[in-house]
Amino acid sequence: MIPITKRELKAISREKSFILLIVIELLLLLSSNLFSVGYLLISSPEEKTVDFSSLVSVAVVSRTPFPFQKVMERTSLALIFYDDFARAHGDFLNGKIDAILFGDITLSNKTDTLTLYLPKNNPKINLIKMEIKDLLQNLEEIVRTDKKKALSPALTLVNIENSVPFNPASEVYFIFTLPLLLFLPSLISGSLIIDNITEEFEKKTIINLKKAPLTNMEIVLQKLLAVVIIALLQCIAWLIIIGATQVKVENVFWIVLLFSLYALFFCVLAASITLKLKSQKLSQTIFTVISLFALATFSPVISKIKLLVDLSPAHLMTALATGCNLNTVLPGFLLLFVLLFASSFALHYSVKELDRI
Amino acid sequence: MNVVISLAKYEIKQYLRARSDFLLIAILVAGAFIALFLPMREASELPSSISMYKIGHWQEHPIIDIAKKSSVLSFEKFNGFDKMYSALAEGRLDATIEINGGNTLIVYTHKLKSKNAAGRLEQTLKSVMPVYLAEEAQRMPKYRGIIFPIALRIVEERIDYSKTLQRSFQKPREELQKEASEKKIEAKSYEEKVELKNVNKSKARESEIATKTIAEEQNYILPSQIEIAFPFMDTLRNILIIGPAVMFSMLLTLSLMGEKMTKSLHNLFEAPLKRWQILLGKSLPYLLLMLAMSLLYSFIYASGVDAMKIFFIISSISLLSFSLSVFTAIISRNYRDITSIGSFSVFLFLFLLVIPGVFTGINALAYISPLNNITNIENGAPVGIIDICLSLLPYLMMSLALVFASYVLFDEENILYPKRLKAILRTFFDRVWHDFGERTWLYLFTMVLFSVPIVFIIENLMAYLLLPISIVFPVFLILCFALIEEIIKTLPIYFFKNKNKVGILTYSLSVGLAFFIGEKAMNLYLITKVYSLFANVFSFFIIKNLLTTCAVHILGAFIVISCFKLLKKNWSFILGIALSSGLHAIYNIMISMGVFI
Repeated sequence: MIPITKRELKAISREKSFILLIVIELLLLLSSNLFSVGYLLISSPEEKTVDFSSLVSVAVVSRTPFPFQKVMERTSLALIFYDDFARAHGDFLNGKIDAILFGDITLSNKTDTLTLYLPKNNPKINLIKMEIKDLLQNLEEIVRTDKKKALSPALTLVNIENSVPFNPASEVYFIFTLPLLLFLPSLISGSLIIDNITEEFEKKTIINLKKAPLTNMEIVLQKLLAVVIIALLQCIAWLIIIGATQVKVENVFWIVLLFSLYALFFCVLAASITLKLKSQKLSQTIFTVISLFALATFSPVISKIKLLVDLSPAHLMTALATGCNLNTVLPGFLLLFVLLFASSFALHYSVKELDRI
Repeated sequence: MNVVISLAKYEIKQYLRARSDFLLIAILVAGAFIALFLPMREASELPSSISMYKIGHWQEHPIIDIAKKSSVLSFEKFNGFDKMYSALAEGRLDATIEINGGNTLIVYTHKLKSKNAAGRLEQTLKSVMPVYLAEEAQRMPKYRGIIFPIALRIVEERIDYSKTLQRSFQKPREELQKEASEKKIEAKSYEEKVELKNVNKSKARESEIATKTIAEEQNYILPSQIEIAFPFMDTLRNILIIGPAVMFSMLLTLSLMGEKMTKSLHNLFEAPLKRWQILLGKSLPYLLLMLAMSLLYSFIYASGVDAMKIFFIISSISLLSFSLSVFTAIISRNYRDITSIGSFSVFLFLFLLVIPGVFTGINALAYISPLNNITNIENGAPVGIIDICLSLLPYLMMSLALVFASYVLFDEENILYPKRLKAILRTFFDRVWHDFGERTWLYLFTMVLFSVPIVFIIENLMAYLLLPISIVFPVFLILCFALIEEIIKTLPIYFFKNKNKVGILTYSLSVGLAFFIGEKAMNLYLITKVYSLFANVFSFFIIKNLLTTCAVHILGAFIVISCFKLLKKNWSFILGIALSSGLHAIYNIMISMGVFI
């Protein structure tokens, strides 16, 4: 019934290089923790996903070491007490220590000032600043509490304690790794359909295909079906592996449906472009640009625009995977149907190009 | 050379003729250029995390009002705590918050999403604390010294940090930390003061200033105001620098593949042109564009010698991307191959260049990526030209190996009638043997030497792939590495037509020595920068006892060829590889256990 689909599936399954694409997705899955940490390091290093404090040494030159001693209980950052500023400064200039904190902290009702010596030409500077900022904010909190007790017990200020065991990496799994892993096969399927169609043009095998008792649209749709099936198989496989090994994914049916619509949309769009342009190089480059735009909807670039956020594939997939109410993703599904309809319309016209061959 | 230029001109004309192609390239170049100037110093949430968690509250509080600005959390107010907790129990909320006096109460359920919501809420409250405190200090100015007990004056100084990541430097640093942790400080309260020695006059002024308030001294900042220019953003920008190189390489691959598919290359092969002239002529425009972009980027970020150093690094990376693209076009049989191998190559760049680069200035692993040196130069750190050359050696070796392979395989028969991988390898090894004047030792030596970069890539990818297994079962990774190295070493003899005539001694010495030399040369930079930082076993593994390591490689090759000579069958190579891999793995395990130390 669907001979072209069967032929395409057979051809792709025989393609050894296709294994490389699976290896990429496997790499993404296996290094998901690494990616999560990497993403957090880039986007919000102050969340301290990875504790780098042991890499930073800070000299303290102070006549009042007590509050510094207290803060040492909260950090693994190495605080080295010096009773001689010149020695501390010498070690700082030699790179043996990363920074110097100089000054006294008292229990007066005035703000005490400290001088912070930092290196200027060191790529480690931001890491040092990040760790020192954390240290000083902890120190500030300790001194504030002590001052409040000693000088003004009536003063009420909100106190936030570290009471919730929070693992940002598991959150990143839902907001970054999972949507990207599920979205990639749909983009790859678009790229594959370009390859499949242009190959028929350039090898002139399209002439043989046209001799088959099928309409032009049937030929294209059967080709589309093959790549969508392959993309769908990948999506289901990743969902099973993720569900079994990493985190519990909710709304699996709706995620698969959403993914199928994306795969279909990208395939129809890619097929329309290819049929119109008939050039692999141009079609593939245009589709790469479209793919980059599609991937940009995963980035913070669109986060400021509410409408784009609600319709972005990343937002929809995360919302579904974390068990949201289906009403919230309805606009996203509706947009996808509109896009699919528009691209199908474009395909309807592009298919006519086959008549000119 | 005129022929090469004519071919390059023809390639450019093809783009100029098709306006859409030209426009697309112009957009790509302009896009990559504009992307470099995009503001990257701001943190922003991913679209997938916007309004991700629903938080319930029933009281009004200034800190909750400030926290409502968070894009990740969406707050819902309830008329009473009973209604709020019912909503939490029914799953309509992910977490709740109550503030009684100065204490906060965050409630969540056993679900992962709920736990994450509570954690995120706590993080958000902490991050908005400075804003809340500033409002409180404005409301109650007399408590300002209590609310903000510490202010800072920042002094930045240039230091010599060039040796700080070296092992020789880490030791005194660790000793200093150990000494400090053992040193007892007697102070038990704020009132107890220790005596400071050697504080010169200018430094003594610091303690005088210490009594001033922030209102009096405008140059002072609060701890929360320390600006962190996101440390990993430099890496992100450097990814953009290599973006155009990847794009132009893609275009070159597609151009070569297009001519391969339409068989228009046939005309060029029929013309009185040499293979290298066709290959160079077709790739020259892309290569020149890559170099021009590299030069432009280098002078955007630095000037003078530093700019030239950056140029050398980016152009070497471009060269790798270029050689990979030519090789991909030559070995691909159809467009699907191009898509698969091309996507894989882009990920290869990500794993080899980008991920290690994230650790610049933090961990010696950053030395694996050449981008590390760009970040160092951009930060004003001194980077020596020898360091740059050594760091680029593996990538230049890889490029050379790929260009060599592309040149050998670039002919009419191979290009116009694409073969399967096995047939390509057979043709390749056969041709090299003929090109080397049928000198078996030279053929074996060169082939194994050029295979080392491939081993480098496979082992790096394998390290990522097997990361979860290798943590639990590290021996498995050692076994896999040994197996990969032995398989790659055996390929030149397996595909060699006259393998029966190869002498045991010639084979063992050529293959063993070539792999040993190649491996050490590839790792020269990492040996001095990375491995020397690890425990003694690793320095031993790489630097010390070179003779033993060389002997193991020669012995491995000896086992493989002996198996073949004895059994005279192709399957005997499997037995040989299994035995030599076993020996190789046992040697590596023994080293890691410290047996030879």
